[in-house]
Amino acid sequence: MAPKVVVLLSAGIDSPVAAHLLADAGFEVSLLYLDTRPFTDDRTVELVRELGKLLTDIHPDMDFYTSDFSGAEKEIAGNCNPHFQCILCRRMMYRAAKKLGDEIGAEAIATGESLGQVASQTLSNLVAEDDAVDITIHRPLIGLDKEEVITVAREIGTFDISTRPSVCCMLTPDGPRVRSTVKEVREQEEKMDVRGLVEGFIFQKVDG
Amino acid sequence: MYHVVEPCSDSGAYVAEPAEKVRIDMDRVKEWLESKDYRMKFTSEVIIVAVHPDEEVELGFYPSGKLLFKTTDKEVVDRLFGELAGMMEEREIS
Repeated sequence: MAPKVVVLLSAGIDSPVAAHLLADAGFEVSLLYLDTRPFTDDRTVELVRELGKLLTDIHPDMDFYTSDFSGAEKEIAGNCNPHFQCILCRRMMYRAAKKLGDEIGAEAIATGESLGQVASQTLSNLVAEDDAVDITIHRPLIGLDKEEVITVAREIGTFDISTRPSVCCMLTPDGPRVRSTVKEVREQEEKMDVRGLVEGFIFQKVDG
Repeated sequence: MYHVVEPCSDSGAYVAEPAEKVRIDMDRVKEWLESKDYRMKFTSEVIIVAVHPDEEVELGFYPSGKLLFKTTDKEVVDRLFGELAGMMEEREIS
């Protein structure tokens, strides 16, 4: 039986490639898109739905789920130091993915993150993110450079969708924290109702 | 106060940034938006998201003075920028 993994899907170039590589490697992949409207917009959601449709056409065994994530974004933006917005957001996304994984019997979660592609994707930030969940996190793109990722994205047809105009996350701070520690992100999360937010994640399966 | 309005990094919106470092009184921005019947979607110290009452365009207001227009229609952006830039300047703290 193939190992199950929940892959966090976004509108970007990387995560669809991560999902594809894991499916090609024999994983049973469930995609999870976390809807952050009003901090993105309807075009972004439509774009992700197209990505999900394309990936599930390529890999018919792949499932696609969504959940509202605006509550978590609002809680972070309303209570925490804005420089930690991105890392706290990702920790909550990991928790959502783990919750879905627990519901469907997944052994791991996965992301399209790699080192150094954006300022906040540093090793110390990844370590601080990993602390949020007690489940294995796969990052199949971790050692790839952008050109290698784009080559795969073009091959599978996701590149043209991912590069359409969309709204970048409105909450990305001007100066995101690049070297977070577990201690400081936990301190920030004390200002949030993490448990309540996780309980509030409800997953809907998207039909092909 | 402002740079020229330009597309955001993902090309789906426009952004106007102040030419100099400023700080905006977000409470007064919120009051003004409510008085003009903007539909408020989210308010905090770090961002206000609101919908223009006539144009149905979602906008982001930041304490740094940044304005984000969630549309690719430059004519609409120019019109809204004309309405909002002065309001933001009047709410500068420093």
